[in-house]
Amino acid sequence: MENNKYLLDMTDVVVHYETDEGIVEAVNGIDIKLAEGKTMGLVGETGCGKTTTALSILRLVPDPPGKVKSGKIILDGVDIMAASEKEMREIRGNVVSMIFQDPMTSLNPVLTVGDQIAEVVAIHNPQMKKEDTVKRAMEMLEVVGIPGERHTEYPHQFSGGMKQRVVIAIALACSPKLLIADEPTTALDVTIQAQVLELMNNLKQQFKTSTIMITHDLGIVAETCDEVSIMYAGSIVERGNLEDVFNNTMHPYTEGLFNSLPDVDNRAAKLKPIPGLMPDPTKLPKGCAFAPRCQYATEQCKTEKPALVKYSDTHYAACLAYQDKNFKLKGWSK
Amino acid sequence: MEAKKTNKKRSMWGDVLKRLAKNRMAVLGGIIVVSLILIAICADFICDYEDEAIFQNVKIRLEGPSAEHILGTDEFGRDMFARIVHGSRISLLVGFFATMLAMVCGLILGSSAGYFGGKVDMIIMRVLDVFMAIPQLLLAITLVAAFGTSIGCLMIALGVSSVPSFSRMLRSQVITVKDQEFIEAARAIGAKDSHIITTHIIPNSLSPVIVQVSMRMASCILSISSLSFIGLGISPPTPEWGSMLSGGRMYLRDAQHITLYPGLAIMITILAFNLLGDGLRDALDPKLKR
Amino acid sequence: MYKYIFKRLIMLIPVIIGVTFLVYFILDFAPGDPVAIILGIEATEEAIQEVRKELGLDKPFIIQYLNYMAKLCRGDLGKSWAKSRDVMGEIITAFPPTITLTFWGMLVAVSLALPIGIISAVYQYSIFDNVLMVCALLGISMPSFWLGLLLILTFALNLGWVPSGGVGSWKSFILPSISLGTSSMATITRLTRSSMLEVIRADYIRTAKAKGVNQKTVILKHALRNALIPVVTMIGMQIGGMLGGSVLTETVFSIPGCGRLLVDGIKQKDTPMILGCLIVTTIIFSVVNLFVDILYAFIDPRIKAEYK
Repeated sequence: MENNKYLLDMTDVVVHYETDEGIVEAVNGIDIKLAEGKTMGLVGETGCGKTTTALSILRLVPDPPGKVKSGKIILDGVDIMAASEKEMREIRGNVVSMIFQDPMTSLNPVLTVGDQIAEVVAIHNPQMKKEDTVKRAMEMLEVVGIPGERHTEYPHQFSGGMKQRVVIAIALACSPKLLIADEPTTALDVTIQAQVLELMNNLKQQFKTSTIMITHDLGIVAETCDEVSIMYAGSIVERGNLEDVFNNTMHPYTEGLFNSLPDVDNRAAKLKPIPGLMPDPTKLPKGCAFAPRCQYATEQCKTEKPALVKYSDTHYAACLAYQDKNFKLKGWSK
Repeated sequence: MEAKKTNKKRSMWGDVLKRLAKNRMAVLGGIIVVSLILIAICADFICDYEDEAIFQNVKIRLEGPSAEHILGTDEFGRDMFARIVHGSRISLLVGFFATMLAMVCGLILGSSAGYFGGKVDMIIMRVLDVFMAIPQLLLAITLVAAFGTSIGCLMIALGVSSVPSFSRMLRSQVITVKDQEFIEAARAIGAKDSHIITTHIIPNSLSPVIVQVSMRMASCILSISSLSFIGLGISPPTPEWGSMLSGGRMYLRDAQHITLYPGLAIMITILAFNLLGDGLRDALDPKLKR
Repeated sequence: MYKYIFKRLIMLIPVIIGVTFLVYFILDFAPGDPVAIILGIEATEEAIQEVRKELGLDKPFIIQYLNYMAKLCRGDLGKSWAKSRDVMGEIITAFPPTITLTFWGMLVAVSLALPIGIISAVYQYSIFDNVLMVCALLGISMPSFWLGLLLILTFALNLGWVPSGGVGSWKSFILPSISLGTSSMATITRLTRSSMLEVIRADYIRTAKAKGVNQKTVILKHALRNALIPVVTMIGMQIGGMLGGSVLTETVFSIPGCGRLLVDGIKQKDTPMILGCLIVTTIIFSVVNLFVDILYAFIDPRIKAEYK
């Protein structure tokens, strides 16, 4: 079985939000394969379905209005879609855990941080005595660089960066196989961002955890990831290892993302932002979702949806332009 | 620039109305409220005040519902239907003016406390704390005891006793809005305090006020009938739902309709305003209803 | 914690002083000459002047108020004008029924409202939720005195299960408690539900679920305590509403409580009695709110931190 090669194997996952205003097509047939010990970056603009993809792995897409319409998710050999709620509870926090975007709101304000860490330990180690779970919570605090004796304090007594450390401690307390970090540093100051990223990098190695790093920051991807998937309007448009995506960029959207980055070496260079906005996810265009903003788009792009095509062992892209063998991106200002 | 702004504003209220229209309960509440207002306005055309609501005819007292008196007659032989119809005037009138009084005072006190903060806030809030420390109905009773039970006094008593909750709500709303960056931006381009309060703070704090107005109408109408029921509000023979109930109490065993219908009228009125208030809240805050 | 309670107690003093002043000030406008009420219309000018002096009514308002406060501190609320008895004594005999009524009303309200509110939120839009929310809506819209009359009609007059009024056995408190508690119950139910719904969507609930916490623990441990914060405030306010509302309930069920004392006082223009009832009720309400605030600090560590 090929599936066993991967820790996480998502095939053609579709998630819709059925609201009064219409059906939001948040995720449209996503494939993600992640091998054990690897880190994958999931990159895309706000609202492109990254968080929904992550939540579907934990089967925590808010329902209603969210519905996983179809697809298959195999995590560590378990079929997530078919698992019972009890099995799911055993998986959450134990096999896979998630770090959420906003540390300010992701901790319960009325419980001490120690309790919140000890809770996840107690759930997944029912035989453990209460004192031991508390001890483990204190250890975890030390691991993320917070003095263990602060476990009796409440979240409001911590700064944003410290809270995110606590969230990381909760996520790693049971040494999960997969860690999903949903923009873990977006809400933090730049200096704190660097600290938290470094901490995560170290812990990932220490705990031998595979990671999905959700971000819109290509810099973070370059620093932390082995592979990258670029997401646009609910679909993956390009996938590959760092080398593939950074140096042999194929998809026009990926090129656009790179062009939007300021160039530190050449400060005279002008930014080349992608024109236009993401399409309304309740009314996705019929053809390629990126076509309206794409400088290479042809008539065919407006009517035909491109499939993810394999171009090398590791490199995939979904762009019709490559049907023309001689097509090349214009490259960016480097 | 200006045109764009008004355009956006209109579409926001348009959205609110659209959401409100989708909410069946809110529409029901709205329909009842509008009909009540129409009944109150047209009361004189529906039945004659002097002849039917005031004139006593002991011969036909305590009669049950019949073709001639569809809701029966009360202990003095007056037509219940006519009295209930005319009673709506008092309830709506006092409720409306009391609510407006509370709203205006609440807007002024709450927004200045929230906006200026510091000493102004402290003084206003301490004074309001004192008012809040007296249960609302008791405060209204105290005011009525001191100033009498004319309609004007009732309006003022009920209005004043509603000021604290209005002000508090507005204050907290203003504090939330004040911290947002467009206020900072307005100040940065040199707008005056009064300008910022009237064009930025109040419009952005308005949605809870609208909800509160509807809810407050309900509670003021309840308070009027409560006061009248214990004999401290509108006094007989003026038709008022609460005092009608109080009169009907004596005949609870023999003539239940005198107790039943005025109470039903109060309940339907309050229910309508509550439904409307609920609907407005959901429509103004789409976040809550997902 | 003691420091917090102590601070809150200190903060109570200016409020009580303010309330007594406010009530005293408002009632100073009350119409009617107390002396004429006491002595009757045929009293001589001399007698009137004498009683005036005796009551201290010839002094300026502020002195009268200070005298009143000085007496209040010794637990003396003056003499009733209408009954020429001690106001304090009257209130002490009238208060037990009012307190009993408020206590049972609140107990009925809270013990039903919290579970209903929680279950309604958890099973949002289910039949249970829909039916109970309609009931709650009727509950907040129904005047308590009308409900009281309907209850008397059904359970006392028609069925004869319980007495229709008075303060005989515990049975006579059943209908008044329901009548007084219903609107509070409905209000608290609605608030519990909406507060719970809001909390359930919070990020930290998602965190808890992502940890593998089961539904029951998510609701009872993670959501409830956060959802209770506004509910507790509301319960405190509702107790005030009940102390006020007991005026109505006591009228309907002919209970000789503080509310009746107040209404009679107003009808007889008996200012010391009105003043006494209001001040005692308000002090009780303030103390109740103090307890609510203390409870608040137990629920929400952020509040406690503010008073450290």
